[in-house]
Amino acid sequence: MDGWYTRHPQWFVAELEALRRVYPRFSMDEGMLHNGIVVLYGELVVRPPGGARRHAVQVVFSNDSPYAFPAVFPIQALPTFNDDGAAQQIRKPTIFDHRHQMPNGALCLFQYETRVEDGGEAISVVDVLKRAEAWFMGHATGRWPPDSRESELASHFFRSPTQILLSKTFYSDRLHGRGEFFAVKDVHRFFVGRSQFQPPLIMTMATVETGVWEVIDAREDLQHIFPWLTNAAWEPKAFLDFQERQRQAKDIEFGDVARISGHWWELPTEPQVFRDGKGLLGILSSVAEGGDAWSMVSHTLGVDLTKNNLQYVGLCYPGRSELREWLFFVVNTGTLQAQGGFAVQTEQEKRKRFEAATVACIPAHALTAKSINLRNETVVSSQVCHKQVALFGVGALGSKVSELLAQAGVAHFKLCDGDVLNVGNVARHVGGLGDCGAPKTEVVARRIWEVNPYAQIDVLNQHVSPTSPDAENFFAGVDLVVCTIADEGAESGFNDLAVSLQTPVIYGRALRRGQLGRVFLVRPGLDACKTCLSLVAQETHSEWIAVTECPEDALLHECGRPVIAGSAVDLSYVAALIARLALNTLEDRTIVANHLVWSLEGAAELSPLLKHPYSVAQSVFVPKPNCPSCGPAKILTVELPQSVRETMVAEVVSSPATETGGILLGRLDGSKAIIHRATGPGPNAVRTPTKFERDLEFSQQELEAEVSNGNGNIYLGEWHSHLVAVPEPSGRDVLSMTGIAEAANYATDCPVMLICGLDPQTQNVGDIKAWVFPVGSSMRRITILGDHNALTT
Amino acid sequence: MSNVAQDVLWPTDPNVLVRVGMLYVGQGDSSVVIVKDGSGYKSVLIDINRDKEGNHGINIPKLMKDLLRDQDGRLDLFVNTHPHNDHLDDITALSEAVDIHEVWESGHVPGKDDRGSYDELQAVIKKVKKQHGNEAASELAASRTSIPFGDAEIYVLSPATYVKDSIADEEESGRRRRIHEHCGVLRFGKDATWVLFTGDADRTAWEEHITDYHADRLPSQILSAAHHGSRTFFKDDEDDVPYMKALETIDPDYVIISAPKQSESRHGHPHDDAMQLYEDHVGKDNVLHCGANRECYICDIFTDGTYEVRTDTSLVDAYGRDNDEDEETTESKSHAATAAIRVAAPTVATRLDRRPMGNA
Repeated sequence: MDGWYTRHPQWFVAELEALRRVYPRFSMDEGMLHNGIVVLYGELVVRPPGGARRHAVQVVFSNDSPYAFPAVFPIQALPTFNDDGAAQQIRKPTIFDHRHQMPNGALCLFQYETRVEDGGEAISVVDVLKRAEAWFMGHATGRWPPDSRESELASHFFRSPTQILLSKTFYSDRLHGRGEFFAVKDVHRFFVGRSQFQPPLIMTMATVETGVWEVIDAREDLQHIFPWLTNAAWEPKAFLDFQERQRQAKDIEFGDVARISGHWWELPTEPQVFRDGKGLLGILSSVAEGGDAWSMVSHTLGVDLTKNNLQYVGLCYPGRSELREWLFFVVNTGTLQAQGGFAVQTEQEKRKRFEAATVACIPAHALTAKSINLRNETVVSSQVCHKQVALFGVGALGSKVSELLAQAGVAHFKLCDGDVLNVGNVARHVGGLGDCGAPKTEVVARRIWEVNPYAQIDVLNQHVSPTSPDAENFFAGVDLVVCTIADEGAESGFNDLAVSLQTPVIYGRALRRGQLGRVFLVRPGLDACKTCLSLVAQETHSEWIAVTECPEDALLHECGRPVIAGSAVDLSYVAALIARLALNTLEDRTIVANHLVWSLEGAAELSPLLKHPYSVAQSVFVPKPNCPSCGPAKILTVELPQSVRETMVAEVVSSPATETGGILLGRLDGSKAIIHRATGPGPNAVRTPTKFERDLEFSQQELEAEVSNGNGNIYLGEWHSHLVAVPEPSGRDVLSMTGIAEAANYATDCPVMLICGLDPQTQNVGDIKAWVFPVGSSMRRITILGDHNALTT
Repeated sequence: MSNVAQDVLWPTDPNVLVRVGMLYVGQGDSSVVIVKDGSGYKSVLIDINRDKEGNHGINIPKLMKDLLRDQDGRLDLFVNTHPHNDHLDDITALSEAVDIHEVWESGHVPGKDDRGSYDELQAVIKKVKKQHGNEAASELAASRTSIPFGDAEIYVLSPATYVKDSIADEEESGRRRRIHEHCGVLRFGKDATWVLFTGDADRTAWEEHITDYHADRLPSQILSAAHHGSRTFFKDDEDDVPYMKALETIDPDYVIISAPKQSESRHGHPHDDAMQLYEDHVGKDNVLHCGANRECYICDIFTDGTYEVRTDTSLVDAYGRDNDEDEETTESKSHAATAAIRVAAPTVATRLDRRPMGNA
């Protein structure tokens, strides 16, 4: 017979030599060896307190040895051997009913290691037996080798082919004591799926029946991935009706075949492994009055015990990583010989039947934030789950970036795209043909929810102009914008907006039919903004890598928006670069390079950094001092004391039909403008519902009076009201303020403008916003700081 | 990369309070004790022997150098139970391999057979005092109170100070015996869990000085058996009625005997009659003899008072005398036989022997 040892004779010899050195009393079953199988027998001795314990074991080498390690089975006693060295008895494995033993009896020995050596690591039988010793020592002392955090208790039971999806509600502290649970098969897969695998059960609801009877409906947890769950057919009431029909043997309704219900108990500690109904009763004895669980189980299951041969049971207990963990079982009592419809059984007969029942574990998938992100642990900072990312454009690049970021643990998204998914998009989009005609934002949102059902997603299903309020709302408050619209003009507009709102943006696009990609990060004030980069591109001796596009590359023109060829394979590189840079930004990692150009085949003619295929040219571009978009403004914040605010608000509220305003007086503290006083309009001011012009003479007097009192106050800028709740600068506002900045007589090159919005509905001041107008640069929004001392007094 | 000594002996589990390595050194004694000390550990070596017979006894200086590599070679304490060669040989090499910070010794002066090692010990003590101050060397003195050591405690149960002086007056053979009578006996552990080191203390020592006086301080789960499993623990001559009270008072779960294979011991250690008495008392499976399979025993006392004993062959394989002379340290191979898969067997001159074959 061909054994593994004929392929690896040296390993075989080394194994036997090592065994002879460390475990000299182990012997090989020559009979099995003749059949090509290496089986060893021997005793392991462990020495816990109180004296040594011997454990007979059978060691079975895999035929994949040495690339698979031998299995160790505890046995009751060593077999005897005949003169030829062949074992004379077949020994059944001893079952310890412990989580570190597989259902076939093999000890779980190497669960907490990943193999690290190149070419695969071979584990010697001596190492295996040392682990087995540690196992037996753990069994004797309770001091086990450390578990992996992911070691699954469920895998140590006999397994049911069914599985359960368990959403976050079942891990909350609302479930205590005992109750019922209700699950539904994934009806989509159940009724229309062609898979030979059983669809999972989705746990939708539980009752808590300790103290007050309470229904906990968990369907909303997973409504994004199973929208049908919220239909009336799966309301809690429909489940309770179903249960009643089932108990009274009434007609089964459509959908009932997809329903499951069972009973659950909360245990004080993690249960040990068990294999039959008797073992289950033993486990439940810890929560049963008087220590015997039978009467509790019999009473709880009631008529179901005789009517059904399958009982579903759930156990929850304090978890190792989650607040709690769950095990579900199907207890199969076998069909009962029915006598005249109902079987009449004594309690004793029922108990006997239940104790003999086989128990299979239904593996439960924990749909909790922790298990969803398990594989990101230690790799991605958990802080990304609190960060919000806005994506402008969720096409080929944007959809892939969204998916990658969701998979990395980002859980808050804003998606903006006006397109619907077309057949042609599918070749490089996360959506499929089944999504044709749906807005790309919705397609991507569904994909994100498939990754994380609890993700918060806002969608804006339209093309957005950089200057529209929608755009500003979209940018407002997010931690990062990813812009993949590849529209030079619109991107420039978004750049100005992002700089004014101080929002970081990553711009990414594929170039030359996906053969190149450019990705850059703009954190306002830290990185060159898009306008800075256009200045850099014009410099001689620039590090800028200019990539010119060929007009012929366009396949189609959809009303001026060219469709450029590019395979998903190549675009994936660019998407991954964008996502990696995004993740680095969200994790607050040090950004080594804020500008990346990737080349598929190498592009030495563009840059020596792109000489080789798959190379990435990394550069750092810093803000240009003369940048009209982000060039440093003198004033970055404005401090508005509560008293000044109140003066302004009083003035605005007293002028409900016309705009009003005045000038701002105060001083500069570094880059902060501190407003000391906001003057009124003056008697000769021009005031209409849409126009305001302060009384010049009055204002000049106010200014001179303030300046001459020796407090160091100067002219800072202008303020006025708009008769709208959320004010925005008008064209007239911008023209005037730009003029003030440029005019020498104002003696300021960075005037401040405040606009108070008077909500016409409520007649209250809704919002006050501030902008500065640095000379030679564009206007930008700045933050208003309150005077906290004033606020508290 | 860690080395074998660190992998086997240096604790990584913070629950380990005391780890004792009873080391196989051929005909002699040597045990390493690692004691938890806050977030770190203190190290102790009790006795040292050099296996001159080449029976794969561990090269202790080399092992200790590897073990203490990440402690800048700091050995907190060296204890010599009594100044006989088989408890002291290689002391100079040890002092060169590691930085001994403190020495406890019996204070006895041996006869001329053991003078070489004794003189070496005196030189080492001088060196230790010079480097770490005069308080760095002291004589063992039995006491009813324990000495705090790290997070654990040490009891010194012998020798009693009142008898030391008389030994120097003895003749050669009498002196040898008297030194065993007043050999160092130490107990490491805490609360209710202890390991007892008995050196070569003989029946007279137990019967007259230790058992009754220290009865409350003797019970220990692990006993490092006296005098390499010699019958002198129980009786002076083979035919005497054995003195059992000491073993009964210690009442160990496990007895560990530091001796070579009996056939390799020039004194016939361990003695069959002594082995029988140990086995009768604790059970055959609980008497462990280092030399039987040339192995070491690792005893862990945990902070919760539980303990366990494990067998280790890798220290002997890595540091046994005969194969270590040209290697600086012994790096861990996580799976020693791994290389065999890809590396061909070394070329050797063919030497045929019997190789059973055949299809049945």
